Amino acid sequence: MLEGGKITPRQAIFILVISRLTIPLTALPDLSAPPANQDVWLAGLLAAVPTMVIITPPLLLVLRFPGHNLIQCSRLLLGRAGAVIGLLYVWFFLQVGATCLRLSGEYMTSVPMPETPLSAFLLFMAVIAASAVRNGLEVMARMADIIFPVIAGSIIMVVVLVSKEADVKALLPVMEEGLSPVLHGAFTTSSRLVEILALVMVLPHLNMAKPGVVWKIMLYTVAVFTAFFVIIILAVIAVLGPAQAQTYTFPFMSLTRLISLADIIERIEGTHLGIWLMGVFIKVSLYYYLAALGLSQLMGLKTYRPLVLPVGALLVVLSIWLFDSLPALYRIIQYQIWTPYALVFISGIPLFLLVVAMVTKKGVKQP
Amino acid sequence: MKYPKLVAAMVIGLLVLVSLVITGCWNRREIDTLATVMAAGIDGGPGGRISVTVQVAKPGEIKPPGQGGGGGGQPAVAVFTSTGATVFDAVRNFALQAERKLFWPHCKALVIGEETARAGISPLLDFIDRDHEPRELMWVLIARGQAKDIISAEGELEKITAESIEKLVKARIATSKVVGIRLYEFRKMLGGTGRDPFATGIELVGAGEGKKRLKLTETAVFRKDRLMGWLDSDETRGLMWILGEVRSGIIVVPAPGPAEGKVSLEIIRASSKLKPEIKDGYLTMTIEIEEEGNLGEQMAFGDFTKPELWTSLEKRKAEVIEREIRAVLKKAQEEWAVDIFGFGEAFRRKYPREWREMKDNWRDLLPTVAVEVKITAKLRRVGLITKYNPPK
Repeated sequence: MLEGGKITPRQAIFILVISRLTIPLTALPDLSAPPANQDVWLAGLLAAVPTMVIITPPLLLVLRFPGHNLIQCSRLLLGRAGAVIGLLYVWFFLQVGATCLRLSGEYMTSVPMPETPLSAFLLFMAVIAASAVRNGLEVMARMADIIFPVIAGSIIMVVVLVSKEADVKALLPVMEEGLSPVLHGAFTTSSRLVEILALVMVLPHLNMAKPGVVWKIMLYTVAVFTAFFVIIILAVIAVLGPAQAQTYTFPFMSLTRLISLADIIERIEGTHLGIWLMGVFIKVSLYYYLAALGLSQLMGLKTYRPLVLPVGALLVVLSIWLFDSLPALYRIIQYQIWTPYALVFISGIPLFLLVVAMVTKKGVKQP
Repeated sequence: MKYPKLVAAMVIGLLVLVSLVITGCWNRREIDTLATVMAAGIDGGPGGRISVTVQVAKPGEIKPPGQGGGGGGQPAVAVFTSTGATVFDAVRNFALQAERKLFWPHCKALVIGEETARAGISPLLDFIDRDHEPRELMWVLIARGQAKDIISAEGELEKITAESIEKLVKARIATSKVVGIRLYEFRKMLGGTGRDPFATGIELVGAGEGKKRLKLTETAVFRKDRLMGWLDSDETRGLMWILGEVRSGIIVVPAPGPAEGKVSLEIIRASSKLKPEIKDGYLTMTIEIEEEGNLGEQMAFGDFTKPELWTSLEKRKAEVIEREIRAVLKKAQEEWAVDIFGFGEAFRRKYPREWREMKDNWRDLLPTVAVEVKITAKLRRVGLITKYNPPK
């Protein structure tokens, strides 16, 4: 064991949901993915089904090898070749973490503080995340315990306050272009649940990591996330209009700026800033932790802690080096690039490993 | 024992360091370095240049009366005009003449000059939408004449003209004769298919030597983003009836029966429904209006609470409502072929399949839509006196 920390199923659900919610709270790339009209919420709702399908291979894989996470499984199955796969995953975690870190910096320089250098925000966030990662998974999980109710409550509060400006008619007609674009959208949305990889990486740290519990965690995560996702999209489309909503860089933030209740409750976009920074902090820390953990397992270290600072440095550098500009970042998280790319990691490689495990009859067979 | 001391020293050192940094950051802005923009106006200039006029609050002059000192006589706002090749360029050029940096989050109204609006308004709005300081909650108004004149005008009761403009727009509910459109609503109307935008018109009234005052008069109607023309107050209320935006107002009808004179009926609530229909290739739109009101005034003698006179008042009221609706339809739908009513959106919602073929030539189809108006107008109460007897 590289770490003794234990987290409860509820904490796991909170971490996963917060982490998944960070992108919809800012970039919301799903708005311009098919069906790209007022039916996006429907695509988000239906996405729960393909999500449960694409997360099956990684879950089945790690459940065959109790006490092992994804990277250990691939080492076990493929030896040296497995290390290459492990490195790919470390790269992927680094990339997700760096994207998110950069997005946090871009948000800060776009909205509240445009003249502050980007690297200032990246460094601050990375240093705080480094301390969270050093303290281990258990500490992050407890943070999620505190943060989740704040984020959930704030999202609901914003939506309730802005409902005055909502035009429900903007959501009609349902399925204007038929069912197929909606299903396409459901599929592209489902490929954004990279968090399944986080779950299969930290599975050995879960209390009561029985298969039933693990499936339940995933089911709850998808259900809770889908509920919030649909609420966010419904509010954004009903208030900003389906065509105009796509033009906003940070739709949910712009929505928050429209709140004005009796000249008393207004200018509360600070709320959005607050909940989003908390969320993105959890997400950056989580992928930072996964990258450090995965790397240490590949290098055969006893603990991942010596890697925290080097990986953090890598994360900051990557977040600057990967994207030239905000549009470049948005291009990568658009469905055309993101869906196939993420699917290779979420389903493709785990499916391959699962087949290998079945053929070579390794691991514990699941009923 | 050494270790905790070291930790304590480190903590103290850290706190000192933090306290140095925490007092400021790159984006530190103190109130005395800012010029708070209350309203902004955009006009076109010669040679395609853009001229932006802003009204900036002078905090020192805004004092409640009776406190003595400043305030007396001094205007509470300063007005600056700047030009540039683009809106942003013009806004930045304020730095050449305004001593403080413009601060936009409190800007309440955006006024666009009539001439400029005729040439197309979208390019002017991009900066306001894109920049992180201005809010999309500000009101959009179209000036009769130059926006600059509106921005430099002085309010009568409010020290800051922007406050006057906002209060006037908010008071539209009392008459339903003017509209109030916020920037994000305007943008939504611009971006929607099967919909054309409209905005509040504002002008300076008062002839001769006397002080000119701000007045909301007409409604600016756009075709896409180009100003087409203006709706007068009856036509505007016709538009509001169709949109279901009428909250209150007075409907004046001739007195019923043998009596002579006029009767004022107060609108208490109203709602509307748009029911599109496609039958054998013909487009029809049924507008159903439900209105409820009180007898507010009779400048005529008689007892109008008698059933037959009461119904006749209700009928007359419905006629006035229909007349207002027909007036705006004639102008906007038939003459200009602009869809400020959202008829296209209504068709799209009910007939998404047919809409796909209609949307490209919607402008040609719009005038052919046969509009049917169904009005249910009710009178409920009479106030504190029931009838008005002639003097004996």
